[in-house]
Amino acid sequence: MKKIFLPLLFCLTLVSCSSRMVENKDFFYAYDTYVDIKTYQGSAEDIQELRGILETFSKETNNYQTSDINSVSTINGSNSEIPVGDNLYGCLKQADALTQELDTYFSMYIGSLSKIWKETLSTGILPDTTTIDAELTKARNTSLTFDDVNQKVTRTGSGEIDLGAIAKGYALDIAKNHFKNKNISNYIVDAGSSSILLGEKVTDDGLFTIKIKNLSETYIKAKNVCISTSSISEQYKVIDGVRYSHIVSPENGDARPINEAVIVLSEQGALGDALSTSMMMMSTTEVVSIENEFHVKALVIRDRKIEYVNKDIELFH
Amino acid sequence: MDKKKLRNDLLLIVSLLVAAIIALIVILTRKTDKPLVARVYVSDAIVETIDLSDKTERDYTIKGKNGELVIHVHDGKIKVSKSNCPHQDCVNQGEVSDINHPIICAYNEVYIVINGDANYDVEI
Repeated sequence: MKKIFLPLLFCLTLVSCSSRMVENKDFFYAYDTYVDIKTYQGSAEDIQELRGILETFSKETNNYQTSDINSVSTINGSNSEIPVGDNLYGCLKQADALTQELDTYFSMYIGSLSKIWKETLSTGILPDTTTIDAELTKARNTSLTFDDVNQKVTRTGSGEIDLGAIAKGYALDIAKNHFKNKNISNYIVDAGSSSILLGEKVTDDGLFTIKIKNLSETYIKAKNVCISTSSISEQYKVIDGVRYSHIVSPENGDARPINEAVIVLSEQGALGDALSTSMMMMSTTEVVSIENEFHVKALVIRDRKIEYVNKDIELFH
Repeated sequence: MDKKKLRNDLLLIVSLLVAAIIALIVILTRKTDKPLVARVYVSDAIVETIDLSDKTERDYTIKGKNGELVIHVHDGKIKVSKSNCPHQDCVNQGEVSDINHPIICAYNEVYIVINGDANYDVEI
């Protein structure tokens, strides 16, 4: 009996080990990038359900194209009361709160100014100061009113809402809640490398290894965290020897960030995304102050070198 | 009687250990043999699979969502050499030979990713 039992136990162990490695995955276009989802628990249907939710949220946060559902584009096109879906409503509320809390570092109302700078990256023609000042005035005079009972929003002013600096992070928060509800703890969601959600890897320590592309052969290990990265290394244009990027300061309308890249580790993806963008315009002293206020960990890169790293982020080479 | 039982148990344990070591060697050997392949996606669908172990210099024309891109492959590296997109981010990204370092052309919904084995899970 024992002679049969022990080999059987051995085979079962092998099968059990291999089944832990079976992954469910999906890969789709949303938020102007590709979203890659992998789970090592649950079913393919769990991912399909999440994909549907995230694709809808991607349409809702688009401020360039109208769609069959009420979106940011719909809100930007009117000053009337607009009913919106749960996720867009939640994201708008959080973006509005961060616009107020982060004051001059973050604004969701600079959509048309961002479009002007994106045009500059394409044409190489700089906007004049009159245009920038007019856009900033428009943004500062714009706000949203929230009707929590009926889940409707009303825009006052003519500034365009742009959720580009927060939408992918908010999508990670949606994914995190989805996995929690499905009792899935082993997962990774990669939204175009700039917004990443980590659960636990199927290893003894559960840590994922993350390579930092702006630094030579440098890695961090992490689990159960959102990692948001803002960088100018790929989206920029050099005009008259000066490097301009897609990241715009809501304070002065300038598109020349102080930092080359900022990585933020946080519990909330939306917060991490907004902070990594904001920190691109901050000095190290300001970064440390914001880190303490919002309980996040940051790594700042300038000229391919580490300018600042939080003491709790361990780097490997 | 007990000595015989102990000997049989030890024999079984040693056999299991040997089998486990052999299985481990097979798994590790199989992993490193995977060839480097670049997959080109347009709006979620794979439109081209490129073998990067073939060092021949060559071009691939890809029909994206809003126009054409030219992908250039040389010495195991891949890049977008031409694109009709307005911002040219995909072209500016230059050559890539790195797993987990994709090239994205948002305008054309084109995504180029190299598959293989890496010593990290994701790149930021």
